[in-house]
Amino acid sequence: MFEALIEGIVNLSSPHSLMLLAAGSVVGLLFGAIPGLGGTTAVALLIPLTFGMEPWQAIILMGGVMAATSTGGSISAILLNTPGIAPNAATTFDGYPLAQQGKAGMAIGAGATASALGGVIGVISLVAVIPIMKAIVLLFTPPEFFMLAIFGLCAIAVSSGDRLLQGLITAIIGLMVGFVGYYDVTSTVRYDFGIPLLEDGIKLVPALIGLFAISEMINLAVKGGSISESASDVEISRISDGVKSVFKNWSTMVVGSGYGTFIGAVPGVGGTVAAFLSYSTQAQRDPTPDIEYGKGNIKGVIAPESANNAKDGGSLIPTLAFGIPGSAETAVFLGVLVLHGIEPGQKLLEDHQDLVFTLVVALTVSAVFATLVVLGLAKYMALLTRISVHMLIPTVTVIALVGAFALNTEIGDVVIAFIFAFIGYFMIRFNYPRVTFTIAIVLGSITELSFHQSMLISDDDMSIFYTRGLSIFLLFLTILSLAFPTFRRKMKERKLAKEEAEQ
Amino acid sequence: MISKITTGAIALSTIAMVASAPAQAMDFPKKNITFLIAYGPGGGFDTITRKLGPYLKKYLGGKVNIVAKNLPGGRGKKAAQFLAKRKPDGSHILMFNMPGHAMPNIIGEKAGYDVRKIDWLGRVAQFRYIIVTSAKKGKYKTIQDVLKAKSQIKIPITGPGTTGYLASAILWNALGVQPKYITGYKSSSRYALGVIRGDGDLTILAKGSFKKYVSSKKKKRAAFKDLKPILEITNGKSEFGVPTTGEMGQKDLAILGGDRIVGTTPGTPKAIKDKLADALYKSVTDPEFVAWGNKVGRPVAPLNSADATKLVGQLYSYYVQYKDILAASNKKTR
Repeated sequence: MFEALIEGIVNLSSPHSLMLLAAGSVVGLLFGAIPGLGGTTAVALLIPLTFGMEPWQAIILMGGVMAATSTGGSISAILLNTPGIAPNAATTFDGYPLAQQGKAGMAIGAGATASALGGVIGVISLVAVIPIMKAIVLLFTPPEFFMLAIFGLCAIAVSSGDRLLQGLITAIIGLMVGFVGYYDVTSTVRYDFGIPLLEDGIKLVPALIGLFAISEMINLAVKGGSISESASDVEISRISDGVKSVFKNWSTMVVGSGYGTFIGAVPGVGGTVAAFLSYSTQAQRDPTPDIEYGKGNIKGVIAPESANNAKDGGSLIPTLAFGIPGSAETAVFLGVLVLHGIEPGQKLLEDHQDLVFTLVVALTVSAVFATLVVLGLAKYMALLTRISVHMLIPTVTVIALVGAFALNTEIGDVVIAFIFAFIGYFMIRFNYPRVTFTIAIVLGSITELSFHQSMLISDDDMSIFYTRGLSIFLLFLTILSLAFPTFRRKMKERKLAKEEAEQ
Repeated sequence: MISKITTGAIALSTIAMVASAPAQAMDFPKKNITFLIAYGPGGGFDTITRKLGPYLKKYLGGKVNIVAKNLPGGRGKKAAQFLAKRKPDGSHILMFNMPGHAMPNIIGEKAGYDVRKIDWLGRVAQFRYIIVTSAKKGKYKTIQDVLKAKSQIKIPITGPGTTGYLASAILWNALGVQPKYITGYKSSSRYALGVIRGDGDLTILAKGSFKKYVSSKKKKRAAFKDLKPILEITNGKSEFGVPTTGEMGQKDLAILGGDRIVGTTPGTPKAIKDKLADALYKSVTDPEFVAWGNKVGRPVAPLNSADATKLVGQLYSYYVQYKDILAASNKKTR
């Protein structure tokens, strides 16, 4: 294994390889930052460029792209309230309020640093689990997928805090949105009202673009001013504070990275769920924060950003072990490998360990490189939040709509973005949590599919959910996540009462 | 006089038409050709289409590019509809997934295209099936065990209407077994994994995929090595030393499988179609392309335009016999 690792480092150390990696990383940053484009598009677009390359060179280029997209995506999430790619959606919850308070530099600094460290932890985990990959992937069967989804839904419900009723309403609507379209179990199309666009379901990226970016522009248009509400003499570049905050809150970063790696390794779940779970768990672990979550708590940026970069390493576990992509990006990456005559799966792990480690090293270096670029430019990027609404609204709206269109060159997606923009605006206006809505859309289909499959496997016997080791563990985590905030509050109340009694 | 002029005009226009056919072929292609992909990036169709592009370019004279374009949606229907609506000038081609793409036509669903009218250029690849179980977790070790089973067999599979599901439905119907399908898996590699995990008893798998999964040299790490064939769908001798459907007297079943056939817009002028078909055949039989296919476990199975057209007709006639089973399969799964 060490020989393969050294070979990976040697492959990457030539100037040509480093240039490829830097190019991939910059493309990844740009495609990540522009809403709607994302890493999947970047990898797909770069495929023809790799035709003339050696397989390891193609791997370096693609590794550069994959490790940098979510770092790029965090920039637009923080500055414009628009997740560049879906997994960055959770970053908007605290990143954007920070930008509104004039702390965009700090948020970008924290986000980028958490991304780099998360990415490195994810890759280290990948290397560590290579020998036991098979066991990990085989642990997850439909009942476990279902329990994982339920855990996610409960965690997010609890994190809506005092807005529990609004949280439940939006979660139900979100689940219903998630059910629209083609259903794999029955091969039937549901709730499409005969509209061809809805046949494949409501696509997440245009919906998120509407829900976060355009709705925010409508809100800004109504309010006026600029994104940053603070006085213009506030120092904009507090990047180093952001970097420091990650080291200060290292446990948030480590837990987030753990979520990213673990959930990334489960095929079909992906970075979005990892980032949301990491965010909501962080909010639960910290019931009495200095700054409320959703109002600009820096830990609310660190948690999802470390998770969505760590998932790059995690999602390669099923990709390399079984040839089953853990995410959309890795699906395209699989295609690249096949084009170069490399068949992913066990054979790759056994016969081409040098290539696996070239990828590992490329992912690590690119995660760090992308972060350095972002940290270097954050000062200038943060100026975006000072731009007057008259300039900002048309620019962002156009970029967002082009992003929604570019995804599938489908005008219907632009309509979806518009519809979700108005839903998003009314949610802002009437204080309904967009977090719950988004996570319910993402988890809706996984919940339904895995429940249905579990029932088919067990002949409608519900005990399948509580008679298997991992599902019991996930059930226990779910109960814990529901009870933990109340328990913590009660303990605190008791402590306060005791202190008062003593006084 | 008028009739003479008319006759003359008709004669002239006929000559012009006949003469213009080779002229069209000489000119063609003047513009880039879009090679549509009916599924998203990353899958088998995406990979093989993108790999084929540069060869097609070479055999079409190298002046225009072959632009691969993913147009996923409606389980492949969207791209076929798009192709059917283009101007018939050879500017768009698509690799069809047969019999999957024919199903809406067979069961009488509104499809927006008709596979019987597509101009077929040639076949690129094909696959045939085997039935596999898990060596460790499978309850039924042989096909005889399956046929004698007292409890209902469970089969993890993609959804009703997909190629694997259709083949399963027809096969088990012919063998008199009524299994329960655990549907919803996104791909064959995922439902194969389902069998290894014990989600169900057995499943249907393309031979190529199976060979790819088990061809690994080292034993200890090969997860898919747990898959064990118990029945091969063929009229020949089994490659894996297991019983075949032919031996069981089910000769008709040998057609079950998948064919990747390239087609263009109905009504494309013959000269253009021939030129495209010729370039496709040369591409698919190019030694370099053949070697690539073998290396990645996707061997080519070239057929020229006439044979591919004949094959589509045969597939259609075969599957239409099972129209009721296929249409009902949607309702059977809860």
